[in-house]
Amino acid sequence: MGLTASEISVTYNRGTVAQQRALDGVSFCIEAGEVVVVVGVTGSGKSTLLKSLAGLVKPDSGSVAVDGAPLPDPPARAVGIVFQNPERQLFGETVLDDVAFGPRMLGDPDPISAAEQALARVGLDPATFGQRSPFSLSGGEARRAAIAGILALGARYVLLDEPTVGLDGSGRRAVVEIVRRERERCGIAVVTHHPDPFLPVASRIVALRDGRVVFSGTTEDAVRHPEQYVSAGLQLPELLEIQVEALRRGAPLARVGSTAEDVASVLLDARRRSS
Amino acid sequence: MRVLSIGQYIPTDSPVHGLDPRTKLGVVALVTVALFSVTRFEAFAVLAGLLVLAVRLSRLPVRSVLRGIKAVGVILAITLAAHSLRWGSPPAGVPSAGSLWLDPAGAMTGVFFAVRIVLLVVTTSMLTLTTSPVALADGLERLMRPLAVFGVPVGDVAMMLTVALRFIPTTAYEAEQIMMAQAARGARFDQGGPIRRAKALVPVLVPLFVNLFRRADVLAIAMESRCYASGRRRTRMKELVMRASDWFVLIGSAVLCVGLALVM
Repeated sequence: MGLTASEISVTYNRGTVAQQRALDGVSFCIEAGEVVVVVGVTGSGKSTLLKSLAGLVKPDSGSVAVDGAPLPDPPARAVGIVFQNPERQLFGETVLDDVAFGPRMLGDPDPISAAEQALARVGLDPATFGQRSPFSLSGGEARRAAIAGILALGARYVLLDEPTVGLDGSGRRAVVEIVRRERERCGIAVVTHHPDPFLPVASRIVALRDGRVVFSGTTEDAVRHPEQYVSAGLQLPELLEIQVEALRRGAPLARVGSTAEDVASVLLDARRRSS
Repeated sequence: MRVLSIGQYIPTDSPVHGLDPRTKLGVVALVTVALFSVTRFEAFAVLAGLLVLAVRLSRLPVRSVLRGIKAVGVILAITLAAHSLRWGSPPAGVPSAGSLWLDPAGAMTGVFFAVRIVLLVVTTSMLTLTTSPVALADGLERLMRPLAVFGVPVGDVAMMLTVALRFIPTTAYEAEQIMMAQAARGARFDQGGPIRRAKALVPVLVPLFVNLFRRADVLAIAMESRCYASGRRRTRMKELVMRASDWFVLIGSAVLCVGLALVM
């Protein structure tokens, strides 16, 4: 069950000088209630993986299934995808109108209610923001409105491509908070170059390199076996790097922390136990 | 949008890519004039041979060159149909379906015009596939330079062309991304009649234009911050130089095209 990709391969511009293998036999899975953080250098295939899972790119080989069945057409009811800089896709006269676009397209009998609920779920009061022009919103508000546009579809799996890019600190925290809350309703995949804020909510981290999965595991696995994660050409998030260094220096870490407070507790506990 | 060849430069090390953009613009102009002057299929065969040679020398994938033809498929179909199909009582011995019948002479004319369109599209595709937008704008600027005497802002026009050509692929990519994003929200662009399909594009065109205006604003500020000012005389980092190969190609094409136009 879950949203699964089995051995999928994708090649762009096949048969031209610009031919490029984006995914090479990737298998991937998100279960309901999970948050999977997908990392990798630029061009590693992260965005293509999301597009394939959302049915927007057809794999050359392999298959994508949602809860054991092929992707429905349109897939939006089952899988929602939020692209990079989603606020650039807003077009409605009002925020409410824009968020209601998806439910209306899918034939929802009450698209306005669905839109109001989705706005509330991303922390935008429908009474305050609903009738505003989407072009008058701040960067963080527009991002949340765009995410609401996907949540309003009621998808069982939500895919977020670089959801925090270009946002300030409070904008990033708001997006992480949405992910934390929404995981109770659906399975979520987050593609990002900056996994740090998502570590506390991440069930697993998947690292891609050259269109292949080179690491898949928990934050604990990343700290205990950093060589696999690093083989993706990436640096570990700082909070995990500190704990890798502590282990290397012989600190007996009982577990791995994923927030600053948690890491401090883990390190203090290790010091107490070693002394 | 993917079928449009125009503006999609494919960088490759080839003799055609290495030609001066003015040479290529000149050859395209000559071939265009020849295509519209000749009246016989034999002349098209000679020009097609010239194009095949150019494609071989350019080392471009044939599929990329032919992609432009797909974009004018509807025009080709209309051209053929308009010339070859007649309505009324069919003469004896011609294929017909009810009152609709095929005029063999008209069909030949239709094929003639269709071949002309195909050759024209391949010729212009070859220009844009083998010449970078910047080189193309440089070439146009040099060719238009004499107009500066009459007060034409040649430099600004060239810069406008460079920027416009440079942003064709970017805009096409952005339109594709917005279409995907709206498709992910359940939008369908391939269903219904022409009006419904046109309406379905509103969620794509509004954000596309908003983003284009934003980008234009940022680009203008970035250019001004690097001291760009309209009307000022600017030097070029790379001056265009016509080499012997350019003169050979240009003169050879001129002789061939003028000869065809006069004889055929």
